[in-house]
Amino acid sequence: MNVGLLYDYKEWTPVKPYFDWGSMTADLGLDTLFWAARQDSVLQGSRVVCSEHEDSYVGFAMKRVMCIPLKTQEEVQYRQEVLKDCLAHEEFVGKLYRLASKVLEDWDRLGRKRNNTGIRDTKAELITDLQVFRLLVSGMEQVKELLSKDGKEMHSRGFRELFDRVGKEFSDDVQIRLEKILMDLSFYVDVTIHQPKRNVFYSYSPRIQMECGLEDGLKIGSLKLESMETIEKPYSNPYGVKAKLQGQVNSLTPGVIALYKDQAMREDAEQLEYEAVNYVYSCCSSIVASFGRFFDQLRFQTAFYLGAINIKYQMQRYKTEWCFPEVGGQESLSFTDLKEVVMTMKQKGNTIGNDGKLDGEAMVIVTGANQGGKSTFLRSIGIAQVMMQCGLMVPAKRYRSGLFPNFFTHFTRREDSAMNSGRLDEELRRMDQIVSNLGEDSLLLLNESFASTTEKEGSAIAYDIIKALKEEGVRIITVTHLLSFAQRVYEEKQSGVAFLSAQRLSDGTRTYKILPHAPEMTSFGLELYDEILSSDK
Amino acid sequence: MISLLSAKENAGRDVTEQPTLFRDLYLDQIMERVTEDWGPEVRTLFYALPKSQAEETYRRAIYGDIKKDEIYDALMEFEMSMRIWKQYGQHRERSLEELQKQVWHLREAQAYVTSLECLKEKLEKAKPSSQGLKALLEWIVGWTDRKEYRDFRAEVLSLWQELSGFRVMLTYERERFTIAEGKGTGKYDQFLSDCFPTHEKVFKSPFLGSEDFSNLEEELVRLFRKKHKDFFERLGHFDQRKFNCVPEEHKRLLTEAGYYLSYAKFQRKMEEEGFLFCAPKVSDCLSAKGVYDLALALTNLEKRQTVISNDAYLAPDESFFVLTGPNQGGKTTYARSLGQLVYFTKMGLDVPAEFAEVPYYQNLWTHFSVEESVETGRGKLLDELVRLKPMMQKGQTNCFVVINELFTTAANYDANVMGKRVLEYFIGEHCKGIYVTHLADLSKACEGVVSLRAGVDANLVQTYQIERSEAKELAGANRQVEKYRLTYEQLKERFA
Repeated sequence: MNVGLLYDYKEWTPVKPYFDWGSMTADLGLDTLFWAARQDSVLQGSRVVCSEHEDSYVGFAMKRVMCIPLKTQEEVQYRQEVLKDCLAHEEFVGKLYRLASKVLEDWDRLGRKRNNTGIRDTKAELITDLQVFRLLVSGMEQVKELLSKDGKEMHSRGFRELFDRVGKEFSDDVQIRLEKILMDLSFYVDVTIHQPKRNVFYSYSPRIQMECGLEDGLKIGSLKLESMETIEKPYSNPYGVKAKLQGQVNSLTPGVIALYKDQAMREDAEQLEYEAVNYVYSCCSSIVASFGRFFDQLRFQTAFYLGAINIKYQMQRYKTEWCFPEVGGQESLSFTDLKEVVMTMKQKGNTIGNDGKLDGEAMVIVTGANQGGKSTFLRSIGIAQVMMQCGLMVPAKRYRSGLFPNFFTHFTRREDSAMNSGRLDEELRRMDQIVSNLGEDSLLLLNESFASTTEKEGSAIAYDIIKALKEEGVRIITVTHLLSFAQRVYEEKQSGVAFLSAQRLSDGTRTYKILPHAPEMTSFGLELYDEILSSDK
Repeated sequence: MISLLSAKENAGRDVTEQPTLFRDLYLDQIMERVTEDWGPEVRTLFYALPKSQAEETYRRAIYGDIKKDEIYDALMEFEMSMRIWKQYGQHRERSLEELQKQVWHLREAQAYVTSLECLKEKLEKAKPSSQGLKALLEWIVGWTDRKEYRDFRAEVLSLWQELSGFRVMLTYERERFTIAEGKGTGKYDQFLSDCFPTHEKVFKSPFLGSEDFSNLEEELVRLFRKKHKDFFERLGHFDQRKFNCVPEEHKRLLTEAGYYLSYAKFQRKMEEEGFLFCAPKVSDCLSAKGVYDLALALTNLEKRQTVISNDAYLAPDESFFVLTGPNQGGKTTYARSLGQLVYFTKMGLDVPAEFAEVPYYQNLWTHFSVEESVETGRGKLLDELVRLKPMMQKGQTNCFVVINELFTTAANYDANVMGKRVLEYFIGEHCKGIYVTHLADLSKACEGVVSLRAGVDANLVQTYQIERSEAKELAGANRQVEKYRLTYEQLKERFA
């Protein structure tokens, strides 16, 4: 049974993640988003309060889901719709998540993690399987109850279809049948003696009827099961007088084999009993397995939405406005008040938002003053893009962009500066890998790439690579200090190239705003040098 | 006596040891997979090459028949039921009780009779066109028409019907079993298949693991013998006569059919994965399109990779390919794939290629460099020469020869001279073949040599494509950007 809250046509599977997700996580600082997802938060009045509790599974689910980009507008809308539903009914999502977690934890306690080789040979394992069977069926009953009680107000297609599916695949009919089977097999699991009243004892006992032939070498073969039931019988001491008398009566009746005192025959009987129970269970095993998968997926998928709710709270806490992004064509990219949410959360304060209207600009080159917010700007686009491509809201008043499943980041690794000689080599190697993995709808964010060699050489390399990539239809946003590169592109006056620059007021103050501006031959690093050094003086 | 391997004599059984060419061409890996369900008996049939062209044609005709769906299905079904039949025989041998042996014997006979009948019917309908399969069908028809077989069959079926009609109802409660003869309705089974329409589980008896009777079964059999004395008496009579229901000849034919069936099954599996096979045509000169190394295809299949395929063409006046090129460029693979092409052609089977025309070669020889042998104590060069000797015997004309890296331990000049003489010898004996070497000079050694090269692209990266080209020494310098193929021109090429 599918949960289908993440995709309408399939369950979540870890296929086709971003190329080099590890680098992307590091370059864009996405770990902070996973941290935010883990923070169990509630609203008290208008204040957001984080509870002490951190649910690492929620962060884990967020990370796993985020690394696989959605590919179409429909997919994004589907997830956004479900998320909107979740935001409106946070409590319900929490309940569903906790229910799934509870069932899975109980299952773990029954020994789910034991080595599952698929071969069951002991009675104890079969009993465990039957207990799991019972657990999952009762879990399904609770899910169904929760859905029918609280789920009425959910209007998204994802939830509606989930309700329908549960109602259909775990219909009352199915439920009754499964309960009957569990009841029929209960003698195998429940071996205690019940005492409903004083001095009245009951125990469960089986009654199994089967048909067999003898054509396989006169051995029991072609078995058919006629009936299987659990009967509640008054308990009598198997070594008592009553049992002894009954045993003697049995052994005298023709066509009856008494098991009383016949140890060898009793062993045969036990084997046959095991085989019969195992047969009935194995018929159910695929449905049990599908319930198991259902709970795994339900926990995982609700965890993602729970994480999304938590991220929303964190944004709210730091006064960051958010919206659901619009999916546009591949050429579109425009936003209003886009913020770099990772930095906001790290610095626990508000940051400057940027506006941008870059529709139709296949290449964006950002230059300008050091410490002017260029990298922050680049990251803010990267983060928003990743969030949008997994169906989340984005930290902006408005955000509209195309979908780029082939999304790459190529940031200089400053921490590598120790091995200077190898740095260009390392950068080129990463670029080579990126080039090998380019596909349709590629987006490449470059941050200070090829700065590890001389300005002149770096510019030449950058120019060549970027030119070829642009001609290939790759969308490129690059932050660069390679001013001769920027100048050269600027002078060519190609269409579809936008130049932005970090704003610097005439007195040298940095506003952290990134605005359209032609590239200049200085990045005002000297000023910064003076500033730092003069403050030292 | 008929055989499916040769029209004349009982062929293909004289070689029991794996020949060298098996290891050289990686045929051992391939045959491992081909015969994995058939076992060593069938595997050894692949060791000996047919001795004449007639034999090759005979086999090819049979294989052509067996590739047809109706015939393949009929023979496969028979093969499968005969495997079950073999298991019954093993049960019979392992049984301790006389009565049990008799019942297994009956089961065996019944399985044989029904599956043989089924095969006969299907083969008659499918109308094989090859000489070999026609003879097989005739043999079956003749055998089943004999009176002693018909009587035997009637008795088996009547006894079987009675035995399988015995049904017992067994009721288990914790303290007792109740036994009654008769049929049930399979109510709970029905309930289960209503609940789970897709389940295919069977209720297995826990006592099947051992031939001995369990206590319960002993009790059941005791009750039955009392009730059905007459049946067990007749069964005893039947068993005593010990009619040899499956003659030796039939068992042999079955193994021989395994030769074709195993390969046909393997081929079907590979074709499903997208690998191409074709029936080679006989012609005057070697010409093939899309030849690939089947062993490499098998390993790549596990890794979900494709294989590179190549073409091959030898004009009537050309004799030997001399293949040079960079390391790891697919040279050995190409040589191996040509060897496999000739091998499977000679065996009368389909070849791993898109299209192939292969002339008749008297024999197939391979010579691959091996690790220095500690056992023989010979140096590598001596070892190579010793292994070369049988290939240069008298009478070995018109063979196909695959040589991979000869004389690598000899000095360059010596190696050149010896290599040239080897080539001249084989060409003189009208042999064809391929010679993989590092020595560029050999590509111009003598008349009839065709120079091939494993290709590299503009950036000196191996393409694994083999093409006709002059041999040349490698050269090239790398700058950092070029190394990663990131110059503008290189990028353009990569995107193209």
